[in-house]
Amino acid sequence: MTEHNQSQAHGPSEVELHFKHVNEVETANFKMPETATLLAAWDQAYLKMDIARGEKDTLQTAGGHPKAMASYLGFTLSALKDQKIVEAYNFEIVGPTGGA
Amino acid sequence: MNVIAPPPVLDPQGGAAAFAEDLPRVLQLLDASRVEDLGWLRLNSLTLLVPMSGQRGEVPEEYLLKLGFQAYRRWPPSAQFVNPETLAFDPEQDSRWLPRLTSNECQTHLRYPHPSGGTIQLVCCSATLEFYDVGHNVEEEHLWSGKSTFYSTIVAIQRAFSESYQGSFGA
Repeated sequence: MTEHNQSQAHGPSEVELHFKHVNEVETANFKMPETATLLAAWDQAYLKMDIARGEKDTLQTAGGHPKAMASYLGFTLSALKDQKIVEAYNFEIVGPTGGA
Repeated sequence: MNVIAPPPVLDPQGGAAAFAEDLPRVLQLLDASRVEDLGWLRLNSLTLLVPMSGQRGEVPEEYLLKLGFQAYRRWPPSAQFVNPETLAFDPEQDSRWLPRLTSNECQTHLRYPHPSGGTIQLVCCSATLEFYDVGHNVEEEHLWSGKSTFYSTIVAIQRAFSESYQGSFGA
């Protein structure tokens, strides 16, 4: 069996993801293949939390200096780290605010 | 649709109770057991201090956000940047302690006209009490729901730091 086949037999590696829904004060921790897109992971987070996606919800990295993820939803999870877009798979779902 | 929300009604007793109820939920959300684990300080039953920082060059510039829960949770917490020594804000003396935030969702003002006269520091964001206190118009979808917690306020301001920090008003 070639290395490629072995990889196919075992499937892609999985990564642990952590999502927090800021407005609902809910969390979801789960694993997904590193080949999954961030958008797919975000969708999965709603399912795990049993929360409907808000029309204006946005996704950002968690922590004191959040980074908006809107431009990276099509990236695979592995690419997010390989391209140093995120340091960890910790994300926050945020509802809309306004004021300017 | 743009609306003007009715002015907030203060309810310190209810606010303290709601804050006490929400604090453990937020700590759990953030995997913390105490506010100190997050670098925050609960000054009293109605006040939470939250350090924040903005980055323009190599060195982070530090600020201190003071959240007040006098009308919480029907209304969002009061949010004021304060002098870390006095824990108050005097626009004449303390402009250095007010970050200049200019995002679409959150802007800071050193002196914003208050309907009752005079001016106030305004963190102009639909997740702060002062926003409603000055009678700011707001998109209906942005109205504080009364279901959100004070962590929504913290996140909205942190996001403005990341997206639009322009240094200090005193610089």
